[in-house]
Amino acid sequence: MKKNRISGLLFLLVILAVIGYSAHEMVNQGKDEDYISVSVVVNDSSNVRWDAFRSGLEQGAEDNHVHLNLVSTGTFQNAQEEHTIVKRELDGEADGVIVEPYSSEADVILPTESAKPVVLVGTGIETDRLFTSVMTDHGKLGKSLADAVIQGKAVKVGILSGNQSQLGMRQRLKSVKDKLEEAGIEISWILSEKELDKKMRNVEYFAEHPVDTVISLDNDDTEKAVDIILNDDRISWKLYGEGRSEKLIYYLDKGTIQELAVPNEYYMGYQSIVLAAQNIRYYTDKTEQAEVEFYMVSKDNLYDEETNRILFPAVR
Amino acid sequence: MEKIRELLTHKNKKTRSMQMTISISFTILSVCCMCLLGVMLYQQFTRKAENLTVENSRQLLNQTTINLEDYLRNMRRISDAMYYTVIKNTDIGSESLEDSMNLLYEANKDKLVSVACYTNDGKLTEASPIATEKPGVDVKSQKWFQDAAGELENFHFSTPHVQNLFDDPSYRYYWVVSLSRTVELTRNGNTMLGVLLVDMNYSSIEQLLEKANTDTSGEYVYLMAPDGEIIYHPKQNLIHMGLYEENNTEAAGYEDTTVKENFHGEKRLVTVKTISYTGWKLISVVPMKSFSMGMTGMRNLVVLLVALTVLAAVMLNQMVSARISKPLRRLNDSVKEWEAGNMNPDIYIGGSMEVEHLGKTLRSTVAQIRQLMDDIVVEQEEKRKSELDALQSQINPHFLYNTLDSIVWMITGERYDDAVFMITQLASLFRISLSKGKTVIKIEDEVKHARNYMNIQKIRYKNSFEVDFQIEEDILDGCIVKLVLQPLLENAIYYGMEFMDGEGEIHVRGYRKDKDVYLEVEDNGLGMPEEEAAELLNGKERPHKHGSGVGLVNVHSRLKLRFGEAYGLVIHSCPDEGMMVQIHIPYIPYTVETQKFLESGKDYSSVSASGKEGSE
Repeated sequence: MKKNRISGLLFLLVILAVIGYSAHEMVNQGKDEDYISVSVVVNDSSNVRWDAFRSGLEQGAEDNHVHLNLVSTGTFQNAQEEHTIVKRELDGEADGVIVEPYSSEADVILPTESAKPVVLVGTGIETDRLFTSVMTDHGKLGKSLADAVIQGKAVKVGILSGNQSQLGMRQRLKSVKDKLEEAGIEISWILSEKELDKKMRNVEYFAEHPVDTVISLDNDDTEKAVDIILNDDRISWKLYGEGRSEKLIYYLDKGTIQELAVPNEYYMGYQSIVLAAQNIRYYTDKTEQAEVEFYMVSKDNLYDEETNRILFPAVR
Repeated sequence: MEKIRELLTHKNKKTRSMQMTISISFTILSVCCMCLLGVMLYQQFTRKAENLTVENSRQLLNQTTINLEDYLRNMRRISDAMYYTVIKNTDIGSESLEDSMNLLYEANKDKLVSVACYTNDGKLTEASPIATEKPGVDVKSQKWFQDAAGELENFHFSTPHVQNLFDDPSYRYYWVVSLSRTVELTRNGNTMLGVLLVDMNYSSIEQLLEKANTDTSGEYVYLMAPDGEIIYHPKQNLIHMGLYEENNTEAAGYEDTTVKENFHGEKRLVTVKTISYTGWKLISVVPMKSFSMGMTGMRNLVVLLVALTVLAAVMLNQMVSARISKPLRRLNDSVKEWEAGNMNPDIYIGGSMEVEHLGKTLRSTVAQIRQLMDDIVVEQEEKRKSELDALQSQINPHFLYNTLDSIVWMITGERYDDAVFMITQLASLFRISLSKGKTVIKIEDEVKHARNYMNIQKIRYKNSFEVDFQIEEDILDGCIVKLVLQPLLENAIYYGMEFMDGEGEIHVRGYRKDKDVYLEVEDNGLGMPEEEAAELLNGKERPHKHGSGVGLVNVHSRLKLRFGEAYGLVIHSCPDEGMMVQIHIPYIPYTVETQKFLESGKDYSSVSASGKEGSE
């Protein structure tokens, strides 16, 4: 009799559990519980150069059920500004962040106390700890630019080295310098981002230090170099640079720029979201380093179908 | 196998309550029915949902096709309008196409990127909104131009590409689909061939198709050229980068129908619709897994409904089974009460007709059994009484024979006084023996009977022993079974006095102790060991020598039968010292009622016990 009662009670409990579970599932149906939130912190987020990256992020967020928060930023003046934003995001609702480090110093950019996943994009940082990263091989990119310059029969070269506090930029510069020195090409000057800004105010500097070829390692510096060429008739550089903004493509099309190294930033955005979502969902400390391809685009291959897909992933 | 059989057998042997059996049976039945119903319901819903999804996707595909065809038709109309109303009526040698072209562009600029007219040798005649060509652009090498020049009569739609014609200082680059056709230009009265280009904004087509791709369950629509080249796909960039794959090459061979395909292990329903004029194919892809994803809510609802129904059924079963089994349980309780020894149980009569009939039958059965048992008791009483009568009747013949024999000898020896005395004693003895057929008499009469008997025996034995009676007065009115003292005296004479040579003594004592009466017959004869004496009452009668032949066992049995197991004879004996036989009976004052009660043969011990309680 007692056994019967226990069996009956168990049966009743099972039925009640099934009712509870079904009701709970019905009530919670459609709630986006499985969505995670990822914040993306890049320098000057509204810059058109991020268009392809943003498209990749959005496609990745849609495919991986991620609430994407592309944090609105201006042009960073120092690493501390980025640190503040990254810390705020990690302390807030974000389950993880994707960061383009302004500086290569890990402590300066990333709060040490947070255990939330961080994915680095664009460039790396100097630390013993391994981070998941999605970036181009900067050394290879620098070497490709230098090769293009060598093929263009350059004699005297000036280098716009961008933000040299970034590891990637330093790697690019080193690679370019090594390759040019190897080819016996003279490097007349090397100007970092801040130095370039100063020199641009002194228009005579470039006339006084003439070079036949300029290599720019960063999108913004390449745009500035285009401006210098357009604004000063005395300057007739052959310009080789990294970049992907439509302005640069326009001047590549016009012949002002000889060749552009264009990283596949759509892929960088998509893959960074995929890896961030993996790290967040599976609570894994496993790090992965994804390499982003880059394409050397000249006027000759500008309208090739493959190039178009890389340069204009977003439809206007 | 053996174990299973054992379990089954054991299970079969288990007895369950009726309510439990009904409840379990109904519950199993309801659960099975509900589950079956649930599965059928779910399958029905799934099938309908599948059909609905396929139908929806087909409708969506049709609607998108209509929208796309409408859009492309508009483009053709724009091209027609430009050609037939502007170009055909304009001599480009003397007039400009600019105003009319700008007007047409402005009217449709949300869908267009540019409109341009080229001569057959690739020179720009007019373009809107930007008329500045990029330096070094060779339109003749571009596919749209070649297509138009190749087939003069047709419209030609290109695949999407980034426009490479005009110098836009605002750094804008557009994805376009080029609609090109061969036109007849008139220059200074001479006709010549040219190409009219209408560059449609690809984003319009993209927006149109994005509207069809808002579903999040995995269903999507894509557009491709007749050769399988993808024009639009929601994951076009991923396909280009190798991060996603589409079965477009195979789909290019599909006719306008719905096909089930297995692509990289994923089963999908692919519906194809060809866009008129362009030959483009609009493809709807519905992954089979999206059906099950969409059915999660329905599955939960079905499970919830089934579970609730089962719960309700279980509760209802409990109530119904309790209601059905309640009268039977009450009837069972009545039977249990009867089993427990209550011979007059209150048998439940009620419930359904069958149970009520059972109750009535059981009640009448119980009554019959009770009647039968009463009859058996009466029968037993009768039997006991008969036994008593039979035992008593054993006395008379022996004694009468001996006494009469003595009287004959007296008369023969002319001892007439002794004979008279003997006959008188004998007459008194018989009068008391008869006692009007009573079995129970006063102790006084029994003592008198004993005296008569001893008087007779003393004469017979020529006063070879002495007898004295010490009977307390207050026991004389008590009840006693008649003829119990005489056998004891007879026993004392035959086994104690025969060898005493005039020195034998028999003492008869009567006294009351508490509520019991004791009558003792003590002799100073040969006696016997205690163990042997105790055996006398267990039926091991000594061999008869003389007398009535009625032994101690007889007396002992009669006393026990009449007064209960607590009463009877007690024998004390010692070899060469004599024997004392004690009658132990309760003190019951002799009245007509007590005499009749004892006569009826009923067990006096129960009455005396209740009497004792009452008196206490």
